[in-house]
Amino acid sequence: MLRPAPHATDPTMSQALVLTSHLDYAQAMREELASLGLARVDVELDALRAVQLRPQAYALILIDTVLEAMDGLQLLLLFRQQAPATIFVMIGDESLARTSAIKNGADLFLERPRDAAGRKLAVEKIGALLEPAEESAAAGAEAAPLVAIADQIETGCLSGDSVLLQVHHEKESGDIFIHNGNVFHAQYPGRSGTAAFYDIVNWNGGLLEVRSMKIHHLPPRTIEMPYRDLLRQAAATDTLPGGDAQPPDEAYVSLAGGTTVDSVSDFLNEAPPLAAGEQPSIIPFPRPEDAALLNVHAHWKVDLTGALVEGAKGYDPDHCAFITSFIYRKLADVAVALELDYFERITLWGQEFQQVLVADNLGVRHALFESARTTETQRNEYVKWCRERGV
Amino acid sequence: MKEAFEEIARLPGMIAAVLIREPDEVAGWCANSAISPENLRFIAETCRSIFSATADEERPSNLAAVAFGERTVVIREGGGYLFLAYLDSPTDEAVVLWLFEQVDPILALEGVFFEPMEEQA
Repeated sequence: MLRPAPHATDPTMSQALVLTSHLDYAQAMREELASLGLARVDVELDALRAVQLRPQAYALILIDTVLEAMDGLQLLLLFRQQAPATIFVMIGDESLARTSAIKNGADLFLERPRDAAGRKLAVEKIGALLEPAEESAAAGAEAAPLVAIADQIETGCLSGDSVLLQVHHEKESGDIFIHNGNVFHAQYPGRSGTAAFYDIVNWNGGLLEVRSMKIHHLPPRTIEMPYRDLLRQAAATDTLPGGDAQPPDEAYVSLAGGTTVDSVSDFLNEAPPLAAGEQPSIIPFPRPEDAALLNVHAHWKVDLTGALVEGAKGYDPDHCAFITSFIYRKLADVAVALELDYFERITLWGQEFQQVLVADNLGVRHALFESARTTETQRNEYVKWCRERGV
Repeated sequence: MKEAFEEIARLPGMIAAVLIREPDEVAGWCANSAISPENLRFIAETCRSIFSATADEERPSNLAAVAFGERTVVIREGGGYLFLAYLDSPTDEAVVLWLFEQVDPILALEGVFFEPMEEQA
């Protein structure tokens, strides 16, 4: 059952995961495993969150036989199917579980160490598993054929299709969404939008494993640039010196009208100064007479394309739509990085104003409250009002 | 700072936390979940851009709570630092106040001070 670990020849490139419900034990094992020279040792205390992980990203995974929300043996079986090259060590309190653990794909079963000496001994045994294996070259024998990702994107866009390109390279994987012939969104753990797109298409020089799938759920749009410009930028990014070089327009955003700006400051600076006595335009919507809005200083709603839908007392409709859309997109990036669904609500506290944004999969409502006159109850009433009306 | 974050990791509901020293240095972090410090720094910096945007709007804020279902990201900026906590819990003002009642003394021992909560929330 022994198999070469990913990056087995260079432990400093490897990551390990300790999956247990016991915080103290997890932290102790993290300390011990760090002595093996692994690049990083992660801890996961929640089995349900662990199910969302990509086990193939780890060279080594330690799993408890008993987890709070799940049978560790079942999780081992699931992970083993997803990550045949990863080394799995099952930790249990009774040797009876040994047979089941090995049957479900464990490379090693260890009784739970009770003290520092036991942990040290356990880590020595685990370290032996991480020794470079002669057949390590066999690890990639079943790899799918590599294709030029740029060609796949161009084909998808030219055909006007809506497809999801699932891209894999070694331990990385990412998604590129093409909707009606436009690159709509890109993501991989830790990044989304154009920055994710540039990274993904440059993995392995653009030669990657690609699966094309039908789109079932359309995520919020994070990319506005035409696909040819994106591919051109990506090629330029690849030739920039330094591994982490970013293209110059990482903060590329778009207003509903199609204007592109680099940052909030640039956007504000682009607005022409008002003439003396001139009033800024006011969102031309009547203020609803709902009680929940009586304490709201101003509020408005944008759809997921960033276009203003309605509102009251918000100065400069374009500006209101822009700032709401900007925050929404940034929180979409955070959601991707945390591998969560999109945010439902953000509360921003300031000395003068408090702001509340409420989102669903159709739009975002944004309200301003005067801090000195607003209570949490009043903000909650606004959130309830949003939910009742539908965002 | 390592011991401070070991203590922060033991707070109930804590999934992960990170402290960024300006401009973008990870001064400390912890995770009871498989989240890398690089990922936490990315999330914190992304949230910082929201604070920058509200400041540009002349409606500055330096404390925020973002609800993702039953989980919450709490961000606080001040004193040249940005602190982010990722919690396995919904939050209201009482939870945010409780969180910083726990975190502030721990970070203060490391020389990290934020403005008093009553001036932020």
